[in-house]
Amino acid sequence: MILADRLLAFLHDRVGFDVTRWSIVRIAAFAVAALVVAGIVVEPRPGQRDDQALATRQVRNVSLAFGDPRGFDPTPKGKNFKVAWIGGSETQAVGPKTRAFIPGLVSERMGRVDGKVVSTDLYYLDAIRLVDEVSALSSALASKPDLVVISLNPVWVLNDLAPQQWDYLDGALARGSLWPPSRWVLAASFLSPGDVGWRVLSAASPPLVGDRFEWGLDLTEQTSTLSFLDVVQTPKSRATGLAALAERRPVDFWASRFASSRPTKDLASIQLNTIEREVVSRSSLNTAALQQMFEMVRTAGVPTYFYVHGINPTVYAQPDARGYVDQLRAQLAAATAGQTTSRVRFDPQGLQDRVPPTKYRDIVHVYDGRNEAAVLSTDLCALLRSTGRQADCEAP
Amino acid sequence: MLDGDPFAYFSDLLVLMVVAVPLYFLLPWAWARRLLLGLAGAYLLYLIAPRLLAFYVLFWLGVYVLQLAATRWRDRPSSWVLTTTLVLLTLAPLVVWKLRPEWAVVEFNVGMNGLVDGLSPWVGAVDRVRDLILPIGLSFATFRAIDQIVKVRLEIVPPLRPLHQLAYGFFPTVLIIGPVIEYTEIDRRLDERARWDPNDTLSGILTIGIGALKVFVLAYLLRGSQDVFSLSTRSGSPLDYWLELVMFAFYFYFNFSGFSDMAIGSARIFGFRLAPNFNNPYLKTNPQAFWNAWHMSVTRFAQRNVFVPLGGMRARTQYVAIVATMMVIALWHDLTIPLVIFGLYHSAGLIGHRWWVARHPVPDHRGLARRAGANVLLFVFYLLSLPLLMVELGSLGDFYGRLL
Repeated sequence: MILADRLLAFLHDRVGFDVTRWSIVRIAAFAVAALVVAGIVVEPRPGQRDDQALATRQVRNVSLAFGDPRGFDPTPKGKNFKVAWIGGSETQAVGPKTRAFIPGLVSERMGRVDGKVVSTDLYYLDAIRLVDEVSALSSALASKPDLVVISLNPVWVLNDLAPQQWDYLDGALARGSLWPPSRWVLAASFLSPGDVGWRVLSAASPPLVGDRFEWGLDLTEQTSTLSFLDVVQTPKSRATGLAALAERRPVDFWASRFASSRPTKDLASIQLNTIEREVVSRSSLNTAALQQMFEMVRTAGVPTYFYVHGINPTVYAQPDARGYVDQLRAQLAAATAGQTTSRVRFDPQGLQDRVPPTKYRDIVHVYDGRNEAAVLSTDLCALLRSTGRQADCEAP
Repeated sequence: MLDGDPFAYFSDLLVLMVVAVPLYFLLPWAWARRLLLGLAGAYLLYLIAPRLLAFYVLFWLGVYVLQLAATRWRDRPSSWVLTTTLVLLTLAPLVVWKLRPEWAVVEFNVGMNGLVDGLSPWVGAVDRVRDLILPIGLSFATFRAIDQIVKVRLEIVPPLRPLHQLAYGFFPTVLIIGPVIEYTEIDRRLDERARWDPNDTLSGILTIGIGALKVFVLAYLLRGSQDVFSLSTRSGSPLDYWLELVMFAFYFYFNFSGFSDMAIGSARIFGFRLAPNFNNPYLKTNPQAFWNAWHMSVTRFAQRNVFVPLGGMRARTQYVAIVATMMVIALWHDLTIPLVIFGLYHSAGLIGHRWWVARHPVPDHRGLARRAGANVLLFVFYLLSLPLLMVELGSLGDFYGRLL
């Protein structure tokens, strides 16, 4: 007999407690009530925003610390013209002359819209993948932005090696996935019942369950020193065997398995191999994710601008790289056919041929983002003007 | 992390049960309930990684065929050769994985992803964003499969029909962290009419709650003790090491038995009464009682399939049977020299205890001090074997040296 049976038998013998269907209902009702009351009594624990090194008055990274399932902390809708910008490391320009988020440079150039200062929430994740962008877009749309900008990294946008990378964000896909049914396929591919369960409990008791990441950090800190032994500081040895395999990100493992014959001696070659894989894979999953993003912004009615960041001009000058980019453009054009409107814009040609050449750190990361910012701000202002907004678009 | 996240698994299971349990009791057909159980388990494996589901579909399909083969030539004198071959075939994936883990784990991930990708590029892409994994739960599944084949061979149960096989192979609560259930623990329930009993529900919820308390409170507080075996990053006096080892022993127990409780409690909500997997092992006073209380499902498996057939109940062969049984239990964890030593060490404990009791019978009523003394002695004996489970052969000397 298991312990619970002994306990129930004891309660039956001592206090005459018999389990009926109503006792189950009562226990469930008390549990829900306790959860709700605890949610009212317990102080909320706001999340800590991630790296703000490149933040300015006009742009801030609203991603929360890595692993926080709340995902993002958008600023409340205020008097500013609010832009929600979603992207990965390609939105950074870190070089000797500039150290900035490109969205920040764009905000400065845009100046004011309808007399309001442009203020940008950047949904930034290192190595962001397309389904991570869907999660970010879901959070961004809930914050009621005036304009949405989505950066599509040419290396990953249609790559079936990594539709998604940060699975702690999967729960964010639950928001808004109930309707229309076209969103179910993507949600079913990534959402687990556990994600949905945590979302429901978080809604019932936000400070207690929703803020569990902060509680967990505190608890971990307070209990991590429960040991009789002393910690010896030693240089970290390199993992081998299965331990090394455990440390590998799935994307790196699969990229190495699908590598082409091109030698991968530098980051640019690795990235070129990744693009090669991308055009071969013709990812239906990423195509669906891209189309869902278009559907989401069309339904929300927010002016939205999708763009594909350029790749390093010296790499682009190589015939095979040029060929891959052309094939990618064709695939993007096919994937987004009929998805754009006057308020939702996307040019599959990308920024490649429109941004004056600049120096790149590797295949996608620029040192200086001013050229790109100039093109982007022109496009965004044109989009806003076409929707009846008054956009200055002059750098102060 | 290659070995999955039991927390995520049980989160998914418990939320899935909110839908699956009412449906299970509403379905009027036994075949539909078996299908529901099997699909629920398959879905939980899919959530870990589609490639894991693909692997287990192949594995249990193979077991289904092997159990049918076990019914052939039953009455021939040489049928034991066939039975042994079938058992060895069932063991093969586990043995290959344990003997050549680095090769096997990579090939498992690549091969099964290739299979999934070939069936559906969409699911293949979903699979590639999941973590790289070991064949999670294979140790448990292999023993369950062997038990099934042996029972079919001995005509204890008839060969499983496809939906029974699906429900047993993918029984949703025991897939990744056990216990090693027997088919006879669930077979009647799979066929009879399902009637909802609030007693089962409350008992199941309480058992899950007790398991969660063990894992998420007690084991969590003691989790730092896992570093006791990190020889390069920890130091302390012999007393510190002994105390840390005691902490680790309790961490190990709370974590393992807590997840077992959650599996048993979840099954109970569906109305399945699985046998307990732990029974206060650290309160026992002799090795035999300890092994009858620690990870009992594996002990029961080894008793049925090794101890009894090898003559454990006969005086002349009992010691050989004990050694063989303990070696099976030890090597189930891994095929390494420290685990061979672990098996021999506990065999020596069990044989020594039998030998001693045969010559110095233990009185029925012992005083508290005597029982406490025996308990402490046994616990220290057990503590000394833990490094054999956790430390590589080359570091064992260093670790035991720190205890002195």
